[in-house]
Amino acid sequence: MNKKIGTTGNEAAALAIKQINPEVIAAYPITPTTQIMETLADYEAKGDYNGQIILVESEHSAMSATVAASLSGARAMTATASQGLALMNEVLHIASGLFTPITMVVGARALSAPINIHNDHSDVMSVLDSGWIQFYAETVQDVYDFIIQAVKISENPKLQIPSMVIMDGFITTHEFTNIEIMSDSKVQKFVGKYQPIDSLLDFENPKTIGGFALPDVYSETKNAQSKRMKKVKSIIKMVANQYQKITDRGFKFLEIDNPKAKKMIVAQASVCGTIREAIKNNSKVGLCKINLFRPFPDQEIINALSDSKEIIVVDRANSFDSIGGPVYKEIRAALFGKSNAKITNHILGLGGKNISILDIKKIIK
Amino acid sequence: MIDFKKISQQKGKFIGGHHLCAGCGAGIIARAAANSLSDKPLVVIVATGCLEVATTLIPKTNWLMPCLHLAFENAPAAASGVWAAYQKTKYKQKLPEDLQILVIAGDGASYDIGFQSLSGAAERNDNLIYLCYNNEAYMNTGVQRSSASPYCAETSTTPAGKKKNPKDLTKIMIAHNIEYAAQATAGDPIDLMNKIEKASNYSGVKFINALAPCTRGWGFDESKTVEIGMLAAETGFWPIYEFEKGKYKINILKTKKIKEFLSMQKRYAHLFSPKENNQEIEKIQKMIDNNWRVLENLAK
Repeated sequence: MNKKIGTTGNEAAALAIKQINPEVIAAYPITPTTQIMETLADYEAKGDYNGQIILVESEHSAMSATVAASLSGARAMTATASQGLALMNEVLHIASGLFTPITMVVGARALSAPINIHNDHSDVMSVLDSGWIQFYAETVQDVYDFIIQAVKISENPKLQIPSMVIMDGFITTHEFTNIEIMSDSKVQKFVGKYQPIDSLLDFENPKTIGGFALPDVYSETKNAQSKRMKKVKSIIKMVANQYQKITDRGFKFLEIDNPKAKKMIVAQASVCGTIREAIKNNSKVGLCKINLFRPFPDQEIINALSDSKEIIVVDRANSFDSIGGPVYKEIRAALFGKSNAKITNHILGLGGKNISILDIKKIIK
Repeated sequence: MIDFKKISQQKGKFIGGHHLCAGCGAGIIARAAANSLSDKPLVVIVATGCLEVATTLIPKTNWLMPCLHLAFENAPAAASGVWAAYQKTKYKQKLPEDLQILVIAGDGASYDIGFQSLSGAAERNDNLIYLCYNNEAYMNTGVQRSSASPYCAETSTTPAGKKKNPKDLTKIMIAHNIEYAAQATAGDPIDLMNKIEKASNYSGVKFINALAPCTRGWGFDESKTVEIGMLAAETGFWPIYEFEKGKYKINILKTKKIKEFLSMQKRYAHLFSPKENNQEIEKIQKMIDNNWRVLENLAK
């Protein structure tokens, strides 16, 4: 039997990480995910976690140490948010370009300036093209479930692609709620013992990793990365199916409420709870929640939205391009030539500005 | 002390066929370092720079041991990741005992952009030897000044000569309370090899700052690398010393005047032409004499 506990998003993330038992964790404090590293340090102090926690001096070093540990044959994880993710940016591309199967937890938070510690998606949307898989969690339960599945997805030998599990800063990170958890042994059985495909520390077959590539090699590498990204969806389906069997909860690229509605709201993560509340007695409006944003579930979006007459896209980040937010543009691109719906965009909740039920009712009027 | 007879009979682990310039001091330093650790399990981590781009051109490599490059400013953090993974996967991966991690980075990666990462690793005191090949400017991008560039040196961003003094990174690293630090030069590879070997017997971060004369950036004939590297030591321009468990020791005495060193390099040509700038040359000599007195006091 899986047991129920009361926990916050950060604590649930730390618990999932402890249960997955990575050999190396690199950590640097940043609001609102600091609690993850504090909880992990507590596990370590109590002897419940026996991997190595590297307490680095910046997020740039956190990601660098995580990548190097992963290349050296260890299962390696980290967590960050906002400015920390921005500082990591350079190394995110190196992580994916060297095919390191890292899983990172992100507590999405606004980017400076002006400095702000509250939630929006300007940090995670700014790294869309870094070659990472992006999972967006709505609830604390999602956080726990997505992390465990993400590790198994990233480490699949056909992929070796890093994953970001994203929850909303100060909303999901700090929300205290009941979730169902598995035992340590059940989680470890699910993710399996980490056996690296290749390791820097193979002294019998020494190799140089991260060498200098001229145009031919560079473009071949990037094409290979792109080809692998196309395999992600089928691996997610497989892993989600296995997870469903042991928990009754899997992973869906999209979750649809009221699929027959002619008016659909598209949104991600915690705001979906508010949207459900706003449309609960309104049969004319449905919700399409996007859980997987990289790779983008274009075919699933077409299937879900091509019959809609009106599509309202809620973005939690601005692209400053006078067109719209990042989700809006992806939806428009996916539906190009497939739908005649009116597609509108609302960029809401920047820097943690509250999105009320009334706000949602206004945009669906 | 290192067994040179044994090393001379071994196949080196840093091999030729690389793309470094003829007469490059960094190549001498890399080879000396790899050779002095050749009988130990060794991982090399290189920061972006001349040495990295010239020795890891895919599909070739000049490193016969595991070698990793991630970026310009994060080689020490990468070393911490490798060290943590080594400790926690030793059994799983059936790894040998006594792993040595050698980080090799230029002065740009050490003094400037990667300084935070280096300082962080030194404070964590992860087990690694950090070897800075210091050619005193950003040579890989075409000789721009770094915070290691010496006073008066002409670079492409200080065309009239640098007006500032370099920072003393070796002393800064000693201030991290590490057990072993040293300065060396490509002009004396034997001294460098002994220092690398000695460093490998200490735990934690060991820091070696090796002067790497650069024919292109300093402006001298490619046959003069060792001579200039040695002259830098003998003039006290680049003092060769060790810091071992709290004690300083000078390895090469100052016996020559700085003018001889300066006059051999185009980066100081503005001090000699159109007419000799005795005032500046004397100022440099005084700075060196002062620094030397400080070092002598430390080594007393």
